[in-house]
Amino acid sequence: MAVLADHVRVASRFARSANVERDIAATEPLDGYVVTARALDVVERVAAAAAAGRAGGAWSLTGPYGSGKSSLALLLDAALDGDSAPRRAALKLIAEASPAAAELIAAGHERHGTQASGFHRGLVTADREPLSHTVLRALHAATVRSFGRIPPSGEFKAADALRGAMEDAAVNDPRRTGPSPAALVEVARALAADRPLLVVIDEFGKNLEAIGDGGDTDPYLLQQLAEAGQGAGLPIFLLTLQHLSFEDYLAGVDGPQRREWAKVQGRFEDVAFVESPAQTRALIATVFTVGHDKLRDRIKRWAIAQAKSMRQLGIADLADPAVVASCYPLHPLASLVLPELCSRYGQHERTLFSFLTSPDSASAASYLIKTNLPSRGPLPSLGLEAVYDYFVASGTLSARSSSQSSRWTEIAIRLRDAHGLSIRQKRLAKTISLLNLVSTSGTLRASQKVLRLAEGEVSESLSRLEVEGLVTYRNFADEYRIWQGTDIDIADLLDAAHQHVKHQELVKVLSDIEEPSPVVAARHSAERHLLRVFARRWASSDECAEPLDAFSPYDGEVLLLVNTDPVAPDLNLSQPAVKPIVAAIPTDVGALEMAAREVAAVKMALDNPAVADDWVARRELGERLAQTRVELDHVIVSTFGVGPCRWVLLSNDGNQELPDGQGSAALSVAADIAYPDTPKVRNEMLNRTNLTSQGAKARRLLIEAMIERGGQAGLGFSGHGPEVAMYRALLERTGLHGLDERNDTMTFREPSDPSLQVSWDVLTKEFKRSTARRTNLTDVYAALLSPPVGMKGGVVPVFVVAGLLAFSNEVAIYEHGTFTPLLAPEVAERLVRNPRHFDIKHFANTSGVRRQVIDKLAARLGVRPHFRKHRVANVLAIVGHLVSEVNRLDNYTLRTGNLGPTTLNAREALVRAVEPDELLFNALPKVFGFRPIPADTKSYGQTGAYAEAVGAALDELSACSENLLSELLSLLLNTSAESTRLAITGQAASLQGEVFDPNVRAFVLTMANDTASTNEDWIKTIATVVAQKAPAEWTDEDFERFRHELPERVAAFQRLVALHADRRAHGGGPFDAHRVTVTRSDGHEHVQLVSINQSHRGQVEQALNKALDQLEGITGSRSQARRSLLALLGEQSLPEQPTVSLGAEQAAAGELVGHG
Amino acid sequence: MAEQVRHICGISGGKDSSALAVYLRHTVPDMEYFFCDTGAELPETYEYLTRLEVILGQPIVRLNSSRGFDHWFEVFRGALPSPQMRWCTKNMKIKPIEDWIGDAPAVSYVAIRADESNRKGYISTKPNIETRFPFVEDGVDHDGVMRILDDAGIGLPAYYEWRTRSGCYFCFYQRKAEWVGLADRHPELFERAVAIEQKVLRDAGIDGEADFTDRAMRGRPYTWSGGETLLQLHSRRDQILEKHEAAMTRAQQTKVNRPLIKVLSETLDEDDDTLPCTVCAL
Repeated sequence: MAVLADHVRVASRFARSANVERDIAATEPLDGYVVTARALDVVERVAAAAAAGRAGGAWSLTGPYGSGKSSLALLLDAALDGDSAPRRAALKLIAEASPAAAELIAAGHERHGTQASGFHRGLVTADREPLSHTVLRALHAATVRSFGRIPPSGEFKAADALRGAMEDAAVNDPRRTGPSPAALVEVARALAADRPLLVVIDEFGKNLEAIGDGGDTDPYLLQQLAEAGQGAGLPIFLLTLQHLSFEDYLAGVDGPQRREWAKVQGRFEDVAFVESPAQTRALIATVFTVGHDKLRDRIKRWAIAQAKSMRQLGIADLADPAVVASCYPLHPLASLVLPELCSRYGQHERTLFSFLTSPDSASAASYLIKTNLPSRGPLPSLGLEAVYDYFVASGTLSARSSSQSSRWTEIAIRLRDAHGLSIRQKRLAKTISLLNLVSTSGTLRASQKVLRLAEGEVSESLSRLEVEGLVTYRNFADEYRIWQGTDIDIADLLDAAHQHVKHQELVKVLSDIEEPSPVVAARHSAERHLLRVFARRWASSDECAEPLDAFSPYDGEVLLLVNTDPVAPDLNLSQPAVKPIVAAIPTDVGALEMAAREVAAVKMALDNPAVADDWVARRELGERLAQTRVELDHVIVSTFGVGPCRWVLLSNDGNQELPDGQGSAALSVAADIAYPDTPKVRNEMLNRTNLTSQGAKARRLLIEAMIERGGQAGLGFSGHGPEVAMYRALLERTGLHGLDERNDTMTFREPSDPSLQVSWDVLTKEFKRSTARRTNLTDVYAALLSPPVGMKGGVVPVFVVAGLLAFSNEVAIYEHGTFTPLLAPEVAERLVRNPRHFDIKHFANTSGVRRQVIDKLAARLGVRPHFRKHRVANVLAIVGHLVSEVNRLDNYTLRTGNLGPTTLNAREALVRAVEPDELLFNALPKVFGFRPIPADTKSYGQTGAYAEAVGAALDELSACSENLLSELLSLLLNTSAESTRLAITGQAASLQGEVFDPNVRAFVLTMANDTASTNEDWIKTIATVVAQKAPAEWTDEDFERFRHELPERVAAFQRLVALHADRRAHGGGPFDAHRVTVTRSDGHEHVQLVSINQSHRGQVEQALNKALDQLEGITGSRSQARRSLLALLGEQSLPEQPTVSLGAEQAAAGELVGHG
Repeated sequence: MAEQVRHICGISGGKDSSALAVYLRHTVPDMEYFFCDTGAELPETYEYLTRLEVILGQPIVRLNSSRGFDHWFEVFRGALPSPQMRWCTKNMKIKPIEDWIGDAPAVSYVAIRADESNRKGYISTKPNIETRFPFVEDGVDHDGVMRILDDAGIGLPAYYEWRTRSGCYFCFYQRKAEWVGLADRHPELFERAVAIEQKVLRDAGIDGEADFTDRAMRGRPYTWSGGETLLQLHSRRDQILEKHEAAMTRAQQTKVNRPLIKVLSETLDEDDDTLPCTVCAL
């Protein structure tokens, strides 16, 4: 069977890429060239200028890779040659496209008389080199091409200049600037004076990039060349070919240079070199030639049908059957996507022609060879699947750093990783991906309609792909999509971000990116055995710098200034001793600004909500961010590095220049100045800002030991735990804790270590500052944390506790405003955690009258002066004693009103006291009717009486609880009419095991309790059982209730005792007796023990029942009968003299039956 | 020479452990009674402990009394305990007990009743501690416990009128009806619980007025009682009580003539089935 290739021929067209220098030498450089509309436009411009007059012109052609710029240069070169085969070929090609253009060229030659000789033509490909070198090569090439060599100076007046320039260029000496522009201009002028000169610089962008590299390319050369060819100048035709505009190449170049180049570009006529899709398709049409009439007819019919479908889809570009036919064997959809595909993901025509003509196995040329041509039936055509295969197989697409390539990569990976698809499904997936790649909404998209056109019936396969998760249907776009991401235009996003960022303050831009990391003042830190860390932040010199808070974890701050004014910012100082602020003032921030704005723009694009859902865009932006961040970091280092940056310590008294050394040298000097008095604490675990959890534990143990075992050598520690190391470093070695030789005890006291001297002075100054009113402990902390001490946060609490212990008789501690008489370990634990909850107040050793009062009170209350010699009882010692006495009182004592009136008032004053001195010298004296004792009292006659009154009140309070118990005891003894506890215990013991009623039983058991060692314990239990509350918790009402209930309880108890005594009198044994009490309405009671002899019981019951039967007739009911009988019996059993006395009474008679 | 063996008995403030203390008072000489004080017990509990001390004729050692809830609440900078983060149990119960017991050999008496098959109290894992269950050994059940308390004349803690367990007044294991009970009986304690909760809520929020803003509870709204703040709970007071009454009636109907304490505990259990804090409630 025939294959398509038998009848369809492929013209070999563009080489993969043209090289202006190499291809000039080729025998047929223009073979296969197609003059596109864009190329023709340029040819016409040049030719028109040539035909118009003496002068030349300058054009800059900007167009993407592979759009045929270099080939165009070759075409121009050939067209401007003398009479030669290439010129004829070129003119033929041009004439085919536009006869008028060919005529213009001929007119140009005529105008300059170059029909035979042709123009001087220097075509050169630029390198990353200074422009002068490139121009020199072009001029040299033109000269050699025209003359075969560099002619002697007699023949060519600029020959010496050219040779000189060649020599200059050959010298590889960085001090030499290379060929001089003047010489080059001279050569060009000399050539142009002879014949018109064409200079083409391909890849001109590389020259421009070289400027960014710091090459000292002089734009003036180009400007002079351009100017020489303009206006009334010489016929110099200058063309530069590049991918981007000058501006874009020069983005990394500083302002003035950029402006220079902008001026140069103004001399050029800018020509955008981009082909439209229709032109590209016209190019495709030139590739295929069908050499068989019958096939041509079949193609025509096929094309009519295809064009109709296209029209139905609304794709106007391919609604013309002639166009569709001309592109055969491409399926119209393939011809539709190819231009877009090539320009977006490839190198334009270069890629297109590779696909069409290369021998690659997936190319269109191979397709023709591989595809059979059936003699009848539908014609085969190259569809989207084949396009897909080629573009996947060809590395050219994904390898390019196109901003869109990520999209391509993602689709390729997804398809590659999809398993288990049928051939048909795979084909469909490929088609969809291709459409996805090129679609920019509009009609060309992977809608069901388009897919049906491409692949026939597709619904089933589509739903299968949807189930597989490979394809999703986007409702809003009526499109199937193969990738998950959205089609975000990253370049657009970045542009918008740049626009936004452009107007932001640089400080803000930088701060938003990231605050710079803190730095350690290395030398200072090493010398002082601690870490001094400076925070850094971006700042502008017009701001007013605020010093860091004392509690900041940092020891100072570095302001990295981002404007180059050599002025340090003002300092806003409210206090004298603040953490140092150092300004770093760079000389140049241009690079910093650019790098920062770039990062900010990328970050902003990345933060765009649309990007969050699109991992492709996210990843690409993420990579870009990482890259720009690295660059920014480099720039930061070079901007604030050694050389170009000044360091200034800010101060209200005039700023101080710091030495400019390696690394943190300046900061170490700043720290030296700010913190001259830092104590030397050789313990890494403690001497730091934040402790580790292990360090915190050790510090807690240390503080606990300081409080509980302060009097012991080494705080009673043994072993080598971290707390011991801390103790040695901070307390022992410094003498903060040591032996007071005057009384041979260990105490906390002023340190002997000179490095701690200033710290101690600061601490005691803070303590003494709080004489008039309370000072919050954070103020003390702040003073120690700030210059000049700059103690580390880990050390401060230990140091403060040591101070509080040393001054325990002078400094009062308040927690949440409440006076705390004792610095207990748990209080210290809270103090370490939340110093702001604590206040202190200093009570100096009192003098004068107050001192006498204190001494008297100390003597009366038995408060002994503390272990330290010079310490005498003072306000805190007395009040501490009072408070702990009050804390010992039980609730009854605190509640009862059963105290002397002054004692009650004293109790009130003690409980309510908030301020120690207020209590001692004002509230308490008033309670006892004495005058208050202000600090300046000259004399006070009631010192002794006052002390005595306080002592007496305290004694009464302390005894209150005991007094209650004695009262209860005598109450019980009186009620029972017994004289001793023993008597009652004995009676109760006799009842043990006999009583079952729980209420009575508990009472009896308690009374019988002989395990209580004292009367107080015994009565306490009884009182507790009766009142259901321990006496210590009683109120006065509980006492009253007890007094009321006791007689009843005792009476009941005594009745029981009597009952059991009776029983025993009757000989004991099992018996069933009842004790009957009859109470008359006048309150008289008669008590009787009644029982029934078991032997008569039956007969007595019979008689009773009979009697009740009779009575029932009278009273009307049996229960009424029973009650009447009971009443009579009760009346009869009352004696003449009623009695309530118990014990001796014997039941006289009456076999009274009580079933009740 | 063998070390002296200690005998210890933990008191929770509830009836079972109190009964056990009374039960053993004459049989185990040198018994040491202890109570882990959170500093946040109900006033009824403190009162009951004093009562019990009188009856036992010996003091009950208060463990931890200097570092109660308020202490830890400050040290933890405003992090409330919760079932997920029960620092209360760890710091105020288990650690003080283990510190107090130390490493000497000891026998610990635990008040699990004969009729409680599934309950587990704090059973130390320390090797030096032997645990004994006298009520289980001697078959003492609920009625037995009541008899012991009656005989001693000590009665029940007063909180049993409205609450089934001892423990902190703000215990997050207490039931909705018990919160209402707290509000009725001890409005000042309820206020304090509200204040703590509000403070934590505020700190955890964004206004950051208070000390603990940056601390542990940041961003973690927490309420004592599940799903609502105490103020919200209290606004539903009548509804909660109604539900509680209904449950009580239901329980009474199904089981006639049962002691109030049983009915109360069963109906309160009906409110929610979170397990009580076994250490506190022992």
